[in-house]
Amino acid sequence: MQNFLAAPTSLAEAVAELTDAPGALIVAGGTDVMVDLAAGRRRAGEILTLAWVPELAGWEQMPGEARLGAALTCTHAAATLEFLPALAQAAAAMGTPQVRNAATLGGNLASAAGGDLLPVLLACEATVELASAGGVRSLGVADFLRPARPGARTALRPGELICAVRVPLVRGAQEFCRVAVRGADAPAWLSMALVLDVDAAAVRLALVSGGAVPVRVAAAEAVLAGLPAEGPTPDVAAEFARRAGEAAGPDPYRRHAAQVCAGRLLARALGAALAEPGPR
Amino acid sequence: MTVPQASAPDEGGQVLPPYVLTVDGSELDVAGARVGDSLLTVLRDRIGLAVVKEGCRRGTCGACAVLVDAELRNACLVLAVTASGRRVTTANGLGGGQLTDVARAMTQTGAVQCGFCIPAMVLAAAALLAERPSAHEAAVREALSGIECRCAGYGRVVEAVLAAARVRAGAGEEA
Repeated sequence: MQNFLAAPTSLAEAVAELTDAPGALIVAGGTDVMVDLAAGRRRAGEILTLAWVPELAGWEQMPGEARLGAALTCTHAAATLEFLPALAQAAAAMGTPQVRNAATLGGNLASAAGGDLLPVLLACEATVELASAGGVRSLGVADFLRPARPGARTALRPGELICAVRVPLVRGAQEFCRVAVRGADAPAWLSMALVLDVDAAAVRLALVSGGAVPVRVAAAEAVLAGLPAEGPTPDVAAEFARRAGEAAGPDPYRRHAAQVCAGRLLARALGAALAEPGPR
Repeated sequence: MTVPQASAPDEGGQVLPPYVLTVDGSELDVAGARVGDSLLTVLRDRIGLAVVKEGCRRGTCGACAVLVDAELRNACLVLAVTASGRRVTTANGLGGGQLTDVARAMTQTGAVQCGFCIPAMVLAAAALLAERPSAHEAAVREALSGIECRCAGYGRVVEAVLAAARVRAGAGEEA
């Protein structure tokens, strides 16, 4: 980095700049970083803007998976990701219209805590691609969300840039819900995503409660292992929801909200499965 | 890009070399801006455009919303230098010096009380109607949902945008 502002125009250039200045503050949508700068929580030392890196925008659909650019905005995701309905729903639900115009997939990952897209990416078993001078490293979202060192939010190493997210395309319903004090621009108390993977005969559930790190809820998933073809009995569905509630932390209202959301998502997913029995 | 011999870094970081922003159709030289400046800081404090309101500075209230190209953005969340090469539009730049149809409708419905949120409301409505000229009420409420009004409320603002949309839709039918 020659000076205190880097404005690369390609991914290779961005990685080279970041290699020169691994401590640079990376700005994409700015919805978190600019707030931190204004509040004095971060310093404007060296800044690397991704505004002119074309490789990071948009997405492509390939056999069996979609590759989403890290700079894909929530507005674009909400409008175009018909084949990833829970991700599209989450992208449409977060922030305000003008925040969604700016906020990116990569930023949601880098900020780690509280992001509405994260439970969906976890339930979809998505993989994060991290580019650095050494090449591209892939990490599952759950591993990505494990801090590399004390004080870090994620497994991102200095000199690494989130460049894409790969999401497996599976047959079955995908649902998202969110509980917040108001619809627009309120941080979610709870966001939850459910993916029905028909071919793997599995249900995958993930949630983020408050600003905590998003988690998969294996205990709830286990209740529905094998996905009985006739659908779960009411008792099994209730146990699934109860276990989802237990994963939402100690606050009784969050546990209640998680239990209600899990029940609804399961009903919605199974309703969709019944309505669309054939392959999609 | 040459590095000026900046004085000690303060809030916003080092001083950037002058750059050009296209604001409301005019190319403006931005001098003395700092690397971490938001578009709000540059438009309001460095260029002196008071029509861009400063509210929360954390992307919540929407008072500073502007159009960057055709897209509504909170100016406080935009790294200012990334707006160079794009068209920035404030409420001053709509309607070519005249009140826009939406702004005129607002005067008729009594949408404006203190007026602080109104430039952003007018821009949000402009962005919506440019894309969907005959937007219905739910779409209008959604499009305005990121801009907080703390006095008159939203009813008359929505009414005004819908009135403008009806006129535009009518004009479309005649054309």
